[in-house]
Amino acid sequence: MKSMKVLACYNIKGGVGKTAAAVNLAWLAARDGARTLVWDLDPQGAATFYFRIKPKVKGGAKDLLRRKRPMPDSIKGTDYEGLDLVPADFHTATWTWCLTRSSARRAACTRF
Amino acid sequence: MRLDAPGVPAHELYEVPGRSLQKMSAHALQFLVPRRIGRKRIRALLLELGAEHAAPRSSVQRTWYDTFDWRLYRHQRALLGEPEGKHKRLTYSDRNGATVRARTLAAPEARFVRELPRGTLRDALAPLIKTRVLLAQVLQTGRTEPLLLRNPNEKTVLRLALEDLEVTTPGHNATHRLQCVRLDPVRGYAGVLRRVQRTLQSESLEPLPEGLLGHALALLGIEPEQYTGKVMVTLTPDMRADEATRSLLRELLGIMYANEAGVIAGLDSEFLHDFRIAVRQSRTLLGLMKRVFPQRTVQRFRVRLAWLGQLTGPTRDMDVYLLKFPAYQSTLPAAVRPDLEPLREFLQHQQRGEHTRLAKSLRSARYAKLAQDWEEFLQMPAPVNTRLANAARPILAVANERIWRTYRGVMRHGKAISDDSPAAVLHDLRKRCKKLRYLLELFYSLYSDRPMKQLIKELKKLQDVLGDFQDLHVQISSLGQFAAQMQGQGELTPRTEKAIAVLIEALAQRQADCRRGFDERFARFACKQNRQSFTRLFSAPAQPLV
Repeated sequence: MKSMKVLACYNIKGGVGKTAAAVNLAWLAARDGARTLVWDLDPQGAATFYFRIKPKVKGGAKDLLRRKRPMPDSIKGTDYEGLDLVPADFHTATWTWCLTRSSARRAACTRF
Repeated sequence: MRLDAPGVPAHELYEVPGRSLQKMSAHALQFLVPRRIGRKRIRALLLELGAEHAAPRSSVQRTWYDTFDWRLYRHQRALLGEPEGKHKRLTYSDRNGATVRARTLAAPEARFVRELPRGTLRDALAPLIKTRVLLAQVLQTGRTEPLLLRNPNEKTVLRLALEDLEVTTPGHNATHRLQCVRLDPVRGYAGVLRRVQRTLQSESLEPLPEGLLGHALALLGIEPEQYTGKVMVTLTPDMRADEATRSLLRELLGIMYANEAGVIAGLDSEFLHDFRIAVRQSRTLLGLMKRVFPQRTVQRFRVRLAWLGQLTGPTRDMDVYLLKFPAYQSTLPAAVRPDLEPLREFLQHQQRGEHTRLAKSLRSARYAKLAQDWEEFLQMPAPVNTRLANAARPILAVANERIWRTYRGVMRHGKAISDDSPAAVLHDLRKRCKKLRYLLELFYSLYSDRPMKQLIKELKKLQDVLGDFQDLHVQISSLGQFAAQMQGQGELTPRTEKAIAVLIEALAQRQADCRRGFDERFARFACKQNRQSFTRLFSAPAQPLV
C-alpha cells in the first residue's frame, strides 16, 4: 500500500472553518487525480452534510472500527469524481472514549 | 465555496471493490434502445422516474485504446479516452466499464506507458502492456444527453445518459448506429440503480452486459482473442506430417502478415519481435522436419527465409539496446547517468536508419515475391503418393523423433560444457535450446498439457541464463564499437566515454555471474525428473531416426 500523507487542521475553537478546510482540501486532492476518501469522525457530521449525505453508517460506526464490517460497505460516493465519504454516525460520540485509548488509536489508524 | 464547482461523473475509484460495489456491477450498466421504441419515449420514461437534465445535450467522442494484441481486453480491462480541453481524459476500467479503476489526464499524443503521467493508471497499465503502443481500436462519436436522479436531500444518487452513437474503427469504413442508455452509478446507492435497471428491462431495452465496447466489437465483427502472436493450431496425432507442418507454417505466415504493417510503420518494437520469431520458427521447422517436403524446395525457401531473418536483425538489435537503455542507466551511479544520454541519441539515430532500410526491404519486390511463393507452397495440397520418407507418416511419430533428437543434442552439448568452454559453445547450446523450445511450442497440442508446460518452464529458465550470457557478451563488444563509431563522428565526450566504460565493466561483471550460474541451471534442467519426462513423452522407439 502506498503511504498516505496526513494533513491536520486544528483549532480549539469551534466554527473557525476546520471542517470547511478539510472538505475543500479533499476536493482539491480529488480534482488533482488522487483517490480521496473523507471519513467523517465528527459526531456533529458537518462534513457529511456538506455532501448532502445521510449521517448514518450501515451497522453502526463502531463496527467499522472493530472490523466487524468491511469499510467499502460504508462508503458513499459524493457528487464529485474521485471523492468518496464514510459518513458520520451520531453514535460516534462514543468514539472519543474509544480513540483516546492509545492502543485502539494506533490500531484504528493502521487498519484501513 | 469550491464545492459549487460543476460536478463530473463520480465513479467507484477503489481498486479492490467492496461487496456493495460488486452488487452494483452485477447487472448491465448500458442498455440498447430498440428502434421501435426510440429515444423520445425512453426520455419521457426517465423523466417520469424523476430524472432531470444535468447538462445540455452535447457531442461525445470516445476512443477505446488497446495494444495490437488486445492485452487489456484479454485481462478484462478497457481504456477509454475522451478529449478534455487540450488533453485526453483516460479512464481505465473493467472491460464492461462497470468498475472504474483509475483516471488521468494525458497528452493527446501519449501512446506509450512512459508517456503517461505518473500515477495509478500508469502503474496499472505498465505490467500489462509493457512496451507496446496503445492503438485507437474502436471509435464512438455522437450526442449525449446527461440526466441525473437526486434523492429528497438533493444528493445525486444516479447519473444517466441517453445517447445517439456511431461506432466505427480506424481504417474500417463500416459505421454502425445505435441508441443507448448509460447508467453511471454513485457508490453506496445501489437501490436506486436496481430500480432503474428493472424499469429499463421491463420496457424491453436490451441490457449490454459486455458494455458498450463489447457491443461495438460485436457490431464491427472484431474478435480480439483471435491474434495471440502464438501458433494456436490444434494438431491431431494421426495427421500426415506434411499436412500438419504446412498448417503450422501457414499459421506462422499469418503472424508475419499480421505484423507486417506494424513493422513497416515502426509502431512499437513488438511487431518486429513477433515477426522475427515467426520467421525463425518457420526456418527451424523447415530445417528440422526432414524428408517431409522435397529437399530442393526446402533448401530454396530456407535460403530465402534466412535472408528475411538477416534483414530484420539490425533493427531488432537496436530495439533491444534501446529497450535495455533504462537498465543500462540504472547500472551507473546516479551522478553519471546523464553522461550516457549521447549514447541513447546515437542508438535512436541508428535505429531510425536501420528501420528505414528494413521498411524499404519489406516493401520490395523481392519480399513480395518471397511471400507470394511461400504462401503458394503452403496452400498446396499434400500429394497422395510421395517418396518422401516422413511426409505421409503420422505427425506424432515425426514430432517425437525430432523433439527427442533435438533434446539429446541439447543434453550432449550441455554436459560437454566446462568452466573453460568459450562463449561460442554456450551460444551454440543456446541455439539448440531455442530450436527445442520452438518444437515444444509448435507441437504442444499433440501432448498432455501439464508435463509440456513443466518442461517448457524448465527449458525457459535454462534459456534465460544462456540468453543473458550471450546478450551480455554481444552487448559488451557492441558498446565498444558504438563508442568507436561515436568517436569517429565526433559525438563522444570524455564523460560519455567514461560512462560507457563503466557500463561495460558492470556488464562484464554480470556476464561472469551468469556464467557461474550456468552449471547449476543446467544441472536442474538435466535432473532425473525432467529426463524421465522427456523420455516418457518423446522417446517412442520402433521408428528409426531419420
